[in-house]
Amino acid sequence: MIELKEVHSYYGHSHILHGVNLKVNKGQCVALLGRNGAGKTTTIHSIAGLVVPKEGAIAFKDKELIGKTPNHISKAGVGLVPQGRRVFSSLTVKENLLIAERKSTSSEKQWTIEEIYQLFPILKEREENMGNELSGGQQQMLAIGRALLLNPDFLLMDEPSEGLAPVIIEQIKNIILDVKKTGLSMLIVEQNIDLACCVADEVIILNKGEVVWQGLPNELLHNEELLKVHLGV
Amino acid sequence: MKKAFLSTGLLLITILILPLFISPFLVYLSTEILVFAIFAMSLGLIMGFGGMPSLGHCALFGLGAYTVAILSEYTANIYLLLGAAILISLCFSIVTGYIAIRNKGVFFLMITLAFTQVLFLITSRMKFWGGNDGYSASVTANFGFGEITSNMGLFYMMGFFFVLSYFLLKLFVNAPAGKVLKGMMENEGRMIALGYNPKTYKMIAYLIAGSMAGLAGGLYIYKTQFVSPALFSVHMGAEVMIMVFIGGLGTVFGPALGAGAFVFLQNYISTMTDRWPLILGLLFIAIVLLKRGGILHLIQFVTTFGLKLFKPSRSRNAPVDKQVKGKEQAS
Repeated sequence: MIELKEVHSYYGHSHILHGVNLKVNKGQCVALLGRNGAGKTTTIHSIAGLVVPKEGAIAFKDKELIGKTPNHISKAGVGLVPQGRRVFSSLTVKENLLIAERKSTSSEKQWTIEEIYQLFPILKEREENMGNELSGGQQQMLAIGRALLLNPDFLLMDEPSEGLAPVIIEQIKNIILDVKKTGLSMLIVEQNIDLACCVADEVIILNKGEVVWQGLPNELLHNEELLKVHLGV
Repeated sequence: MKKAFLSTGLLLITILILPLFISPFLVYLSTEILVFAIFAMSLGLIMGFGGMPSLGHCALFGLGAYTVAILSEYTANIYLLLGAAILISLCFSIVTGYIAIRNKGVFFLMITLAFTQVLFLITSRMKFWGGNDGYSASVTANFGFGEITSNMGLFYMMGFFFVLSYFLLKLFVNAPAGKVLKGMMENEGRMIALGYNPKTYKMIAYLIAGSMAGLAGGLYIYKTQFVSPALFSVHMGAEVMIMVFIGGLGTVFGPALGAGAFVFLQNYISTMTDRWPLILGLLFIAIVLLKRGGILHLIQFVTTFGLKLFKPSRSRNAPVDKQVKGKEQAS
């Protein structure tokens, strides 16, 4: 589905990603873990085209993504749930969803606004509310719903549990598992190890812009040394 | 959509009955207000919904006015004249918009100003069309139902175009393209990540605003019968920007209200003192400091506050058992 080979990304003169290699297969859910500043968000932004890597290759469905603009990458089938939700506060819930609705020729599952409302009934109740009138959890639901309505083949999620109460994190976890059942490939950046290990088929740990470990969630949870050294647990 | 039809209907009724309640002088003044309302609403679209603050929007207004004034020498057909005004302004918008929309904020402002200054220089040197002294035109509106010569006739003519412009703008801002534009103003990067190309949507808004300003300029001539390079001045560009600010940025009707307040105050206060810009300036500062949403938001605020005052308090009137039940539910 998507493969990053020796990706080097920079913010100005700061070298952030030092040759990241990773692969997500069709229908697979991969979690990207690491401490603050490890390069997780930069990896996601490099895929989405928000940061242009200076070296390396990003192949999505056998097509190169580097050099394409973010809107072309989105149209190619890469959806993004940004960090901190980032819903449009000047638009209503319904309008936030309407502007994202897009049919895809390649995606097997075609999401509609009604299906999003079934997945998140609270959004239906609050469809006339402005984006900034929602709670953090509801905004996260809206951000996920918006990304799903793009009908992507591959979904990037940047810290979906950030700043949410445990009970809401549990809801978000179940929603991610529901979405995973539809066969959508996902790359999830997370700080919450329990959530990441629960939803992911494979876990990748980044440290200082490099992949330092890759394996199954169970292996990570039983490796105390790894958890302590790279994730500070 | 329903709201757009409803508000347009209300506006139409207001325009139809307004001359019955105001003095002939106010009817005459309202004609000018309606023209500037179209002009201000067009700037309001790109400023309030697209985040493009243009100090050179008057160029498109001026071009529309000059087009009608010059072409009226050759034809009196109002459809052709207004069509030409819109077309010329649209063409100028295509050229300037292509360059200007690649920039943001103050750079957008300065580029649009630069284009206007070029037109200011050209028109002030064009001796053939009056140069600095301006150019007098003799135009009479005739849509095929007879000549419109009275102030009342002109008022209804401007009123028709004002309501039409309002309705079209309402349709646009309520359409998905309008929502995308608004979203882009809030966060362009996020909208790009959703697969939208911001330049396309900004250009669409810029062209709509340009055509509308051209139409307003064309209509302006039927009121004043005179054009001058002052239409392309920084002063003119700033005035319409103030209209948008005092009326209400980010709304369709707000700029029209701002135009009304501006022209009204300009005409009334200037009869009392020569220092009218000082009073207008103070009003502008007060609105920016107290209520950034402008007059429209001020009206909404006062209405909401008034309704709250007159609304019977639920806690005072509700039976005691219901109050307790309500508190339990809340907790």
